[in-house]
Amino acid sequence: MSLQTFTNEVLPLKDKLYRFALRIVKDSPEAEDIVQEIMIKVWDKREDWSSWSSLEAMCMTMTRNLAIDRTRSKHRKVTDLPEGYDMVADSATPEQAASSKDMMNHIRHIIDQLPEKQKSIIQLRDVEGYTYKEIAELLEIPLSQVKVGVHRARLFLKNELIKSSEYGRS
Amino acid sequence: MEDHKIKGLLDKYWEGETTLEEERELKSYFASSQVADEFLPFSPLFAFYEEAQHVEMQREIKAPTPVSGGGKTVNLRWLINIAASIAIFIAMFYINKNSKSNMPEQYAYHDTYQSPEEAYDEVKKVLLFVSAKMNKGVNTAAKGLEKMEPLHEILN
Repeated sequence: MSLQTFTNEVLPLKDKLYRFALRIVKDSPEAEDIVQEIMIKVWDKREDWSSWSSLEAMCMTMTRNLAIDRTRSKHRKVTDLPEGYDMVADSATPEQAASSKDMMNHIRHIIDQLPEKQKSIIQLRDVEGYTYKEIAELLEIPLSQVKVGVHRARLFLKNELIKSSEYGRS
Repeated sequence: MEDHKIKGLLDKYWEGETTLEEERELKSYFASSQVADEFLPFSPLFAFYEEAQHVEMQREIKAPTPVSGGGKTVNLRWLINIAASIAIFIAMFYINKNSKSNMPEQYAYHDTYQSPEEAYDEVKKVLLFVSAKMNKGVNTAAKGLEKMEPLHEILN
């Protein structure tokens, strides 16, 4: 019974959890470890599932907490990362691929400069498409803080993008 | 007309006031090839979101096996940590043991004198020797100082 729920509702979340963990720890194998560990934790807590308002929200919250924990325990340096660690291979020509990859790395670099909470908010809203209410529940913060976070993060991104286009990077 | 609408949506977007539906509209606008020049600087951001959405985890997740009694899975990391600690202990034990057996005879403690008197004499001899050397040192220093005397006078 619970195995079925797990297979149908928890396992399909793995990519979403992975993307969320990756945004925080910025290391692919580490993010994968986190997801695997969360899956085990969630499975071990299967008796509590009925008391959780949303299985998905709980998985996301647990993933975030573990990811933050990992970055703290390792004092991970946040800037020195192999470029393109969360890239999807695409694009028609090698030139296009190279310039688009460069641009994507640039954007990721800007997002990485955001405080952790704003980064999580942007990931949840602009990448995953969660509602503000869901984000508030998931991050365990008031709705007003989510709204302020979205606004501040987007403004920062906007200004950085304008700055880079003024430096001839567009 | 379209640009005007996009500008309005973008302004709302930066403020954090857009709905999810409006944000989807913005994403599809920026994914199109008709992005107006004034919005071009923002185009990579929406392309990034679009791309980031499709990132997938490569590693397979091990699904739990329905075990009777719900056996707990032990984290491999912990096991490795414990094994490493034990290995270090064993290594330290052996190194310690070996270094003791290899210790040269001269450092090992054993009795050298038969009676306290004999030991006392030996200690006295050693101390006298040291004291003689020290006196010699003091004399040498005094001679050196005497040589400095003319200099001292000149300076004063």
